[in-house]
Amino acid sequence: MMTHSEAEILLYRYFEGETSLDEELRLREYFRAGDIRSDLAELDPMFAYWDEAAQIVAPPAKQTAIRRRIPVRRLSAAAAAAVLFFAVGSWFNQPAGLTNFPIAEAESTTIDWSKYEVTDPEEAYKVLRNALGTASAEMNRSARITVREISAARNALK
Amino acid sequence: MTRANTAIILDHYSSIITSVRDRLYRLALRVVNDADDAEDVVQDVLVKSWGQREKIVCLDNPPAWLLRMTKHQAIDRLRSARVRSARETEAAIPDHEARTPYRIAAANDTLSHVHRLLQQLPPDQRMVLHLREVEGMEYQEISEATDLSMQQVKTYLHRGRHKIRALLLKEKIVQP
Repeated sequence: MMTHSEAEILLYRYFEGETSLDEELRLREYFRAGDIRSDLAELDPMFAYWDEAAQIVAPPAKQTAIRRRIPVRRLSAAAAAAVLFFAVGSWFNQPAGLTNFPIAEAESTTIDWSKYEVTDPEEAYKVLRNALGTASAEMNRSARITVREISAARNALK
Repeated sequence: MTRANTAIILDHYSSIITSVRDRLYRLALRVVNDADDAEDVVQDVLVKSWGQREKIVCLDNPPAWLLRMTKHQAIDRLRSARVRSARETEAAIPDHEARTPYRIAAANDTLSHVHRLLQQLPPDQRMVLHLREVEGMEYQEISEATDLSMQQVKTYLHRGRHKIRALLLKEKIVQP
């Protein structure tokens, strides 16, 4: 059992930061025992507090599922395999005789194109003139853009 | 890595976590001063540490590594809580129940008083005091767990103890 004077000396060293863990434990026991000299009693709450704080335990762990991370490479390989699987599957599962333009092809059987055919020579001439006019305008537009770009380039080089 | 190795790592990791979990919680609680926040801090640390379990089991001092992680996580949480609290205080209505008899009685409790005094210390001083007085750690271990130098650890401990004593004397708190 530690005497009061021993406790006093240890306390002095304690506040100077010179005590070992064992000595600090002995000090703790001195205060825990309850027979404390009156002039040292002022430190009792502090040691009681440390004792109390050491009793705190963590609450039970929350059930947080830690998801296992799948490496990116494996994920990419799996995604590629899935895409390939569906692509091959749909290629082999497509109905026989179906082309890339199934709707157009299906309609082509029912549309009678002959009724849209231009039979009047004047009407044919108009259609042709319109078509050539549009083509000419577009060609002129391209030429204008080219000329404009060349002038801009020239200006920039000056 | 073989399945046997994975099982060994998992066992080792689990035993480390089991042995250190309470210490992590107490440290987090010391810093953030809120049980729910402390619990969240520990949970975050454990989730992060799970991703590095292979590294952790190979460390010389895994508890020190986990305590350091807890310290950083807790300080981050404390900072964000302060920002949040400042915003909430600006928006909050005045607390008319702040001085109810129950609250005054609770505040007068001796250990609550010491706790309040301790919360007045800067976080680093508080942490060093806690690791020494509550966890009974050597200076070297505290240094590893807090990223502070040995000299800083000794200085903070010295200052912290003196400050607590001065506050106890000033407020004349006596254990009943």
